[in-house]
Amino acid sequence: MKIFNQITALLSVLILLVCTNLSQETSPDTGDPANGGSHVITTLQAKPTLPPEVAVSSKDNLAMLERRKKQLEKHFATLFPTSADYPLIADWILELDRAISEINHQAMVPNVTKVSLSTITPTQSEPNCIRSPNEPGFCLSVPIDKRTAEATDITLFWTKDQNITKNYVITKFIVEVAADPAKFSNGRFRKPIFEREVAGDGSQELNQKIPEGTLASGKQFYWQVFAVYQPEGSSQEFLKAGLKTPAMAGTVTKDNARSFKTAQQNFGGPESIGLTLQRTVAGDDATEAAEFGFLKTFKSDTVYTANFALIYDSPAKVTRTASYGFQASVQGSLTSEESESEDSLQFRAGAIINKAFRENSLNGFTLQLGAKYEADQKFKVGKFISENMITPTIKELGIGFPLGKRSIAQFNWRPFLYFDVGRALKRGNSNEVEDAVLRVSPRIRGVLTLHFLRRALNLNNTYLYFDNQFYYLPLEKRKDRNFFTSGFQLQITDNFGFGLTYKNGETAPKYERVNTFGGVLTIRFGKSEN
Amino acid sequence: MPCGYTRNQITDIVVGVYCGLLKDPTITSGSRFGPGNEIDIDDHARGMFAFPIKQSIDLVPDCILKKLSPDKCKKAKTVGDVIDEICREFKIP
Repeated sequence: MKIFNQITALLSVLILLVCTNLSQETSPDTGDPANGGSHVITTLQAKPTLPPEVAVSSKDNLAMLERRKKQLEKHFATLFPTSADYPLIADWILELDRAISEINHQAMVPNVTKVSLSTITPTQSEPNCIRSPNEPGFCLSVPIDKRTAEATDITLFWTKDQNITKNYVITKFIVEVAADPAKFSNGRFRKPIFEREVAGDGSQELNQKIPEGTLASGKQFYWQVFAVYQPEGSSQEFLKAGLKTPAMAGTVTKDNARSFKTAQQNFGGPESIGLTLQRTVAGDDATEAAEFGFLKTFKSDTVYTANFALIYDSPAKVTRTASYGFQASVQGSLTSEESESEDSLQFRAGAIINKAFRENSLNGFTLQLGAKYEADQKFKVGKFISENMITPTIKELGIGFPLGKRSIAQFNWRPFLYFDVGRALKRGNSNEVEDAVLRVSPRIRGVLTLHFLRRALNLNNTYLYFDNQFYYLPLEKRKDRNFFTSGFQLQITDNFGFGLTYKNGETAPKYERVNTFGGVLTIRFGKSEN
Repeated sequence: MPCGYTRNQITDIVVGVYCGLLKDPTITSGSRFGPGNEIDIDDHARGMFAFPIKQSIDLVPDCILKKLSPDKCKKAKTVGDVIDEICREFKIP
């Protein structure tokens, strides 16, 4: 009990420290742009400078106004609020502030665009879409090459011309789709089933939706985009195909067409009569699929399961490198009958804090500080717990970012660390027998996306995953518990998927031994995901 | 004063951030998130984009992003959804 009280006190101090530290983030950071990870982002974060076309007098004027404002602010700090000068100087500072904003606003908006445009130009040492200044340099974007299970009314996207120096003018783009990849000598498809022209002057977005009825379901198609351009001083038009994938400058690519396969239509019938199926009636998230699961406990009976999580996120307060939000959730693992399978209900509420380590970086962490009531599905076990979780995102270690080749397989992983402290209100038949609850629990989750299999089977996605959570319970007689889950998921289309899972170990709140093999079927139709 | 950005400018900035940080020049507003899609990163990493996007947008005094949170970036299905979210906040048609 003494240990428990000490740990509770320690945790309170820790949370207080974290909150104090994070609250200092509420003012915009002034990170050093030199710390930017890449040239690209350094450019983005460069202190805004006035473009050359903005009169020099504006620049001087701005500097002068800022100087004056600074001097007044210095003077203002020395004044008493009762002084006659106080409101006068305050008004003056505000006026100057408005004038500075006005100049910045007029000058910076076009300049920001120029700065940001340069960010899509990668350095020459990396594959890019840039070509010689005499011909357009752009790439195909969406869908990625050899994408499977695409909608039949897909929208094709390509990038802007990314050349910086241009000795030509693009008059239009031509989008082509064909079922047969055979081409004429100029690169155009011999038998296109869809062709459309898109303006090249920026008046139209660089994408093209394929009308419903053009593409058959479950078939392979090829697509490409040509820029039609006129070299400077010439009225003759030329064609240049967009690159299938970014390449090193000077590389000659043989084929500029990408391919994709359309999905099999499984639910055209029910959809056409207006039926919708998803996980819950109340939810409006079209990505939520209805789940039907079975679980076979080794050497025992089969039971049926449902896993769900209902989450509410409040609007977060966001600064340049941190965000603070509130989240409440209900999470359940329910079974058709009490068995050796894990069952739990968790009601959570707390703060979600995301923090980037520095500007211009994706590296950072997510911290969850909250309280939860943890029960079994019959509410025989009840524990009130402060649940605290941290997970980092570090690009260099592949945490959150895929490792491997998109052509074969990619691996994603993420570590988590949980620190739970609380009290059992109803012990029930839980194997965590002490009234005081203390858990230190590292968890790791990995996903291996099997792109080669996805393409071979024309599935939306196929992946293997594992999830291992280790519990260190210092107040218990038996101090270590472990829960391992792994599985294989075949996401056949957006509507329909099938998975197999294997579970072994003991998990909160009951820590009953589980050794099961099961399957889950996910079905959704009616509402479009996009 | 209303924010003077146009939708095209917002698109250029947001697409620029994704292209730059992921070193993928083929990303456009139509690029989709998720396994097997054009931007195949997990949802926590997806959320972290809220910060560099904010840092890039906030260069203009009247255009300070306040509502684009990591959660909104996590829930976006495409880069275009993030652009829409920003345009909605600034009331850009």
